[in-house]
Amino acid sequence: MIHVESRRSATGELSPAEAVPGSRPPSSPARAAEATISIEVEREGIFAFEYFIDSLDFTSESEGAKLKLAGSEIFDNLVKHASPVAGGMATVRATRRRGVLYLFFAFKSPSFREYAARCFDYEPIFDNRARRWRGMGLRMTRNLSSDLRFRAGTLLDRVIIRF
Amino acid sequence: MTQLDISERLDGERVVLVIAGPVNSYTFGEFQQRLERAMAKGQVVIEMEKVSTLSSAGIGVIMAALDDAEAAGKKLFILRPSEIARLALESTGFMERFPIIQNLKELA
Repeated sequence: MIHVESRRSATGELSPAEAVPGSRPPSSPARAAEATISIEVEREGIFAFEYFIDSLDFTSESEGAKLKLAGSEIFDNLVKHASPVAGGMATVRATRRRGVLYLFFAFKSPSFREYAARCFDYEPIFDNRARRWRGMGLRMTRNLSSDLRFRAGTLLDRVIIRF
Repeated sequence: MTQLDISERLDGERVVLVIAGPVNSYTFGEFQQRLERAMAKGQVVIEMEKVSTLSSAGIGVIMAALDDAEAAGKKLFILRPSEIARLALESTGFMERFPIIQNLKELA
């Protein structure tokens, strides 16, 4: 069973912890839309993530495609590099604030800080054992978004994608 | 759609591998096996019209297959990628590496 919590608010303010540095402050109140889901951080969780994005009612088809592709790569990286996360779950939130789409991942992982410090160092490389090219996920996410940030925190780790 | 559906048909001597559904981090292994098996038979065309998502893992498989085809003097083509599959390929920054066709007649 997948539970998606969705809501719309009249303010659309980002909380200080979630606001993307460098983004412009809102000039006027506007309607916001958002949806949240908790997903198990394991391989099978990718289907819940895809379902979540497909169920959003405030994105166009092309926006949904970007969210799905970029977010899938982040989710896969959490499974590979940040597991186990506390409680086994990550919270994923999609939101549109003043016309701008964001995707947030929140979780707590003992290995995330180290991963976040080096994750952008990788270039695509051929993996002989897996017989395929690897290391393209974050490159894709960056190219699909306008801003991508990894924040290792004391209480919570976050990945923030702005589109 | 959560099920990856892969089927094969022949177009002359070419194998057309028809992919439908998500090629993601969970399903790419099946895609890789079927693609490698098809490549052993000859020239392959990957039909991606009904692909609902395409992850970096799936793209990594396609890139490896392109390398293998080139090394073997064969050609590999991607037929009619869905919008999301095309967007995924573009987002790698390597779009020029992917030989995309819209119709099998282009290979005649």
